[in-house]
Amino acid sequence: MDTNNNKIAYFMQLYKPVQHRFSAYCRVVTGSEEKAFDLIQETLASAFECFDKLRESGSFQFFLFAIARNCHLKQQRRWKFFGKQSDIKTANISVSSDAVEMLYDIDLIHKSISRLNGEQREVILMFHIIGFSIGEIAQNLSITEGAVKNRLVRGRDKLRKFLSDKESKMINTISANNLNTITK
Amino acid sequence: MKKREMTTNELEQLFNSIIEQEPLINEEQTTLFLYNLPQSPIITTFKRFFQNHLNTFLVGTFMLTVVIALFVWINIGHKTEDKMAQNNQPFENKVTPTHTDTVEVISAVGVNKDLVPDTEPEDNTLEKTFTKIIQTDTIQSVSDIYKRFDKKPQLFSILADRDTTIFCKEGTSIKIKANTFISESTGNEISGKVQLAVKEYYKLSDIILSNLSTTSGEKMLETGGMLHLAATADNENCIIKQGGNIDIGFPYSDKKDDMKLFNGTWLNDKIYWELTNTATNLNIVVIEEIPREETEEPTFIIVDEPAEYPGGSKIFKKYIEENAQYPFSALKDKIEGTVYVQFAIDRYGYVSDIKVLRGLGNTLDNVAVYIVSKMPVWKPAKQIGRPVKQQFVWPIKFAIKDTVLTKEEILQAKLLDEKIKNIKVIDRGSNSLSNDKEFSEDFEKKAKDNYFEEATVSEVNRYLFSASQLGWINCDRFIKYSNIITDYSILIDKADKAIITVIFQKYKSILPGKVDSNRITFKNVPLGEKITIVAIKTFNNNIFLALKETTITDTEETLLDFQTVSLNLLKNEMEKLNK
Repeated sequence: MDTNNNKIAYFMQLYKPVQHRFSAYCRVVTGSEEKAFDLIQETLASAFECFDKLRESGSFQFFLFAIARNCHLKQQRRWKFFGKQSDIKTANISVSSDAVEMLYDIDLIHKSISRLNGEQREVILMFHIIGFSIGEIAQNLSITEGAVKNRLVRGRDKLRKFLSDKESKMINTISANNLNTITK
Repeated sequence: MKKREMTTNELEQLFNSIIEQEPLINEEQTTLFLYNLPQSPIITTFKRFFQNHLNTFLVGTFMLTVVIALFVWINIGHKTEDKMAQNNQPFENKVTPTHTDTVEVISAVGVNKDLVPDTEPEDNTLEKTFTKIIQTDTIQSVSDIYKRFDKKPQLFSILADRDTTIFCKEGTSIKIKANTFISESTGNEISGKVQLAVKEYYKLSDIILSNLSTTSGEKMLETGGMLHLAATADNENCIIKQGGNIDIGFPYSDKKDDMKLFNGTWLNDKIYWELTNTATNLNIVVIEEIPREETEEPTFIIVDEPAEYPGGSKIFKKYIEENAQYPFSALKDKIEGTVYVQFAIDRYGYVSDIKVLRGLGNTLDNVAVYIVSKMPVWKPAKQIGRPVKQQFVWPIKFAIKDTVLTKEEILQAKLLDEKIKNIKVIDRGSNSLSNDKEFSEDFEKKAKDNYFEEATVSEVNRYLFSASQLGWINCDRFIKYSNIITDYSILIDKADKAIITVIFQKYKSILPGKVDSNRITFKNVPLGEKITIVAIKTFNNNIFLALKETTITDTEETLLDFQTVSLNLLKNEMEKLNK
């Protein structure tokens, strides 16, 4: 029993610094709170189960996000099979205070990110949400740093364009500053 | 309004704002969650496996179901084919004791059990039958041989609410009126499908190898064929309702008088025939037409590629115009006008179904039909690349020439009169001028005879009876002979347990004997009549057969000379008796 307690304590010690980014990643990647919640739980369970296999504490971030990525792919396959829940339904389920604004952000980012191509999306998420350095991304994806930079720049450009389009369409003025005040 | 491009900084802030949000699960919740995770690695592994491979699992299950369904379907399909092919199979296949043949026999017995409950052993389950059949691979008694040679029923699926006529393989015709059957258990009228199982016994070999005989009481019968009929609907036995009956036709080659209908009951492995009181001899010998094997082909009016007269439509018009002449008998009536003839060109290009839709009276209608019927073979119509039957309606104009007829023309008109003499128009429209509306098939038959080279109109003669019950049915007559009647006995070894029958090939009659101590006696048989003695016994899984041709005498026949035979040989020997 003690070993289990120790294991949990050690896991939490490593998890604490990345939990915000992890949560954000799950939100953006799934596009809905409910699915993000599922993804977090599934990832945590899987990560905790094979936590013994983790050799270096420094690579916990890699470890967790790799699992999260796999779990998300599996979830997607499952949703594909059973049919995706509609966003309206999801929105009705979540009732937290900032939920509406947050959902809007997430929706905006999610929709914009989903319009990027696979390579760019991956790099953007790794860099901006997970917080990997360019070198780490290059190592993780087995590509050169130049390629990572390239994808990052192009991805960002596209994203900016999509976000500006959407913003001008949906609400006239919603700047990042505004958003900051709302969410804080 | 000018579009405002988002700066990199703003984008960065947007991402930051998302990252800085409160995590969906806070620290405490996460710790609690980790504490509550199931401890058992087996369950977790299983759960994870199930979650991860759910799709594979579902697809796999689906595939497995499909494969099983396919397997079952193929199996059932085979069995149905077996049932249908049972009577066509060469005998050798049925008796060679290989594994597949055993299965075949089982399926056949299964069918018998369902449909012919009174002839089957008391076993209720198929498994019991299974073991029984396996056992009969080793022939232990003569009854095992009979079981092996038991005739497979011909199965007919009929609709209970329709009049149906069935033609069996050996020529039996069974005419069933609509709503004849009722359920044996409930007495309710059957609606829907009824399965009729028919076994025909016309050959001596079939009769002997099914342990059937032809005696009623002590009297000998001459058989005109035996039948076993059984009807089921939804695995429930059916009987003929009170007052209902079915007409059965037994085919014959030489007609014999005084044929009567007998019903059979089994008692102690012997069949006893009793004259039916209820059955009425329709006493009509009919000439029936066996239907053509092909099913009625549909008739098309509009097709992809219409039928074509050899040489094209112009030649066809020319042919009609040239031939639409007045016969001599019609010249004096001075009728002019158009006859509308409907005809069909079948898929072989032959003309058929000629009808007069609107006519000008007997003679001219006949001419029109004659012209159409004498057309050469057409190029058949095609629908989706297949030749089909197409229907046409064609007007044939008759107009009297003003000019005086030449001698030659008069001669031709008289000739035409001769030609159309035998033609009777099948159908006339309501506007017909003629009073003769009699429907006649003569012409249709003639047209068929003339134009359908492949027509299979064969005439079969039958004894017709009306039976009021199913089960064993025999068309027999009592043998009348002028010879002195005597008792005939054969010396036997009782330990043999041989089954001995005497066959009167002349009468197609089979007589079972009565065993007492060391002899078998046949009572009331005509002296001096030619017979064949057939004795079958089994010993140590071997079959022994004794055949002896002799005449009936006062003295006792000596012991029979038995020889080992295989099942095939036994069958062959029995078939020799048919000749």
